[in-house]
Amino acid sequence: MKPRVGTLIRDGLVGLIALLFIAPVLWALVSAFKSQSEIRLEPWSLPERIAWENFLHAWQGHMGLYLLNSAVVTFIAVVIIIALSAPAAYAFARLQFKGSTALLAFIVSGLLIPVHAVLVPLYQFNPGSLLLGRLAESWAPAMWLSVHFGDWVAVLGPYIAFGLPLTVLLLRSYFIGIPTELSDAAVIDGCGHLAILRRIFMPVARPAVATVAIFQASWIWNELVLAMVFIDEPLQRTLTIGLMSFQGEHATDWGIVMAGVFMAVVPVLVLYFIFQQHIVKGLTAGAVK
Amino acid sequence: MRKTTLTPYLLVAPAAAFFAIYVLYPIVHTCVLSGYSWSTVNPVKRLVGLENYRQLLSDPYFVISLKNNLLFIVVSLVIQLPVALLLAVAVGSLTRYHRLVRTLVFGPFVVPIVAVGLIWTAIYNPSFGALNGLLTHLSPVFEHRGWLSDPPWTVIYAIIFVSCWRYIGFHMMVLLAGLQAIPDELYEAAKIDGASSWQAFRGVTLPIMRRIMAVDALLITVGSVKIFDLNWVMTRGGPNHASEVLATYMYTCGFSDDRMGYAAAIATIMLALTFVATVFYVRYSGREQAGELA
Repeated sequence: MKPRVGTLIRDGLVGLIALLFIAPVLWALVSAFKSQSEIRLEPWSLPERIAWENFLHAWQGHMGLYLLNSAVVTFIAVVIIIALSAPAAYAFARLQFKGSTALLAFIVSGLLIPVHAVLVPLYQFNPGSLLLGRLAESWAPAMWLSVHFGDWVAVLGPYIAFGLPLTVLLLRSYFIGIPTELSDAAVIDGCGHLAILRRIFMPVARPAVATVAIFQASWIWNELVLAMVFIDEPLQRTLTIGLMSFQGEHATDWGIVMAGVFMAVVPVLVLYFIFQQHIVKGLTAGAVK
Repeated sequence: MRKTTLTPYLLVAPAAAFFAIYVLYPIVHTCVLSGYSWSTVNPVKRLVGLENYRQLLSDPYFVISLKNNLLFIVVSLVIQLPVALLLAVAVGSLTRYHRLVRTLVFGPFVVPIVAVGLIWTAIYNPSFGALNGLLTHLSPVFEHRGWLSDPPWTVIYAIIFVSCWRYIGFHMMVLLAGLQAIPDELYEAAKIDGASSWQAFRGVTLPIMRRIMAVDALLITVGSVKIFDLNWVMTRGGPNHASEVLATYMYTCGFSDDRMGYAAAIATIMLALTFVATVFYVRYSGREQAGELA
């Protein structure tokens, strides 16, 4: 059967739209290889000579460090989010206790809260920083941590806290679906709740953990305003504020700025093309649940 | 094994405590602080009651911000939802390449948002931007046209457009998940009844999709109240506050102008708007469900 003309037109139209969605990114990635004068001459040309020096500038502008910083901060935050959420989700899914509904509603209420609503008080009074400062007075490792990674301690608090609601909610609904027979055997063996959680629930719930980890990693990777408020130290900058300061330093040379953008975008796009299904599932987790 | 023990509370405590310390307490604190006038330079707090809110009402930049947020909500809803639904339906029925098209349309959503802001700042650039590079071929009017500067009223639309570009793929995926959950039998039944594909869309697809679209609309609305990153990266809320939104103005008042009480008042208003939007949609979608049951 030959495809009808209508089908062809529709396919072509959808393809054109898809191209529109990706063209701006492609344009930016190509511009990263052009010198400033080439960009000024003709925005849509391909580079005549590949301007490697753009990438040299981007590297010297600490883009590599910012990427590493964001990776470390994101990793720490996601690990702690899951470590705090899993026991709570387990309790909400499997144990009956007074006030469980109210407690769950209390945590889930955080789902839609804008981070701007906590900026002013946390700026004035950041529990993590205060605790670290107190410890640093008498304990050398805390002093070291506070000197080198103090801003991270400040910013990680809200990162973790804002990650909890959805993680608790998603893990709880997954845990509810785990058959009781699986854990009954362990109960008979005399395992405690934490052991059951670690040995049975977490391995079984691996898909849900992966989904929620991708979701949290994505918004923390992209987070801007908390980083702006809490990270002062240039060496502790994460990718978002690092990229902005990089742009500030090279505001007139867009080839260099686009090289910085290239370094920020390409790793994510590569991950996206490899793990596409997982990433789409993770990123839409908040809406579909 | 139904005995009352401390165990469940101990399991929940770390998460609940963390959440209370970093989210709940600061929120309450923000509301309280909005009744004071103070700065980090002069941290003595002076109780001013509702004075900050009174000032906000006569602050032209606050009014612009509020208008821009409303504009963001309305334009995002009007553009993103229908286009995303259309794309979802089209991609769902695509004979070839539907995976590729999905990948490309969702692509902008995985690009880090600061990078998105910088990319579009370059695209909108008056002298070498990609947009003028195309448009000057159509008409010389577009030579040196500054999309993010002049005239000021276009700026907010230029930013909203970027936001739509980034989020339509996300909403398409959400709606696509909803579409795929519709059993084929319903469409077959509609076909047997002699329904055209448009009738099937109106009779089968839309009613089933209504709930997921309400959730999606809530996400768009709340997201538009919180919008900050794109405006900050592309214009800092300028020129002359033309693209200011509540979040950027709150940040500027608090962390550039050091008017902490005033910033807290703006944050409180953002919180209230989010709350109102949530209650509205929960009510609305709840009623829809009740209607379906009846």
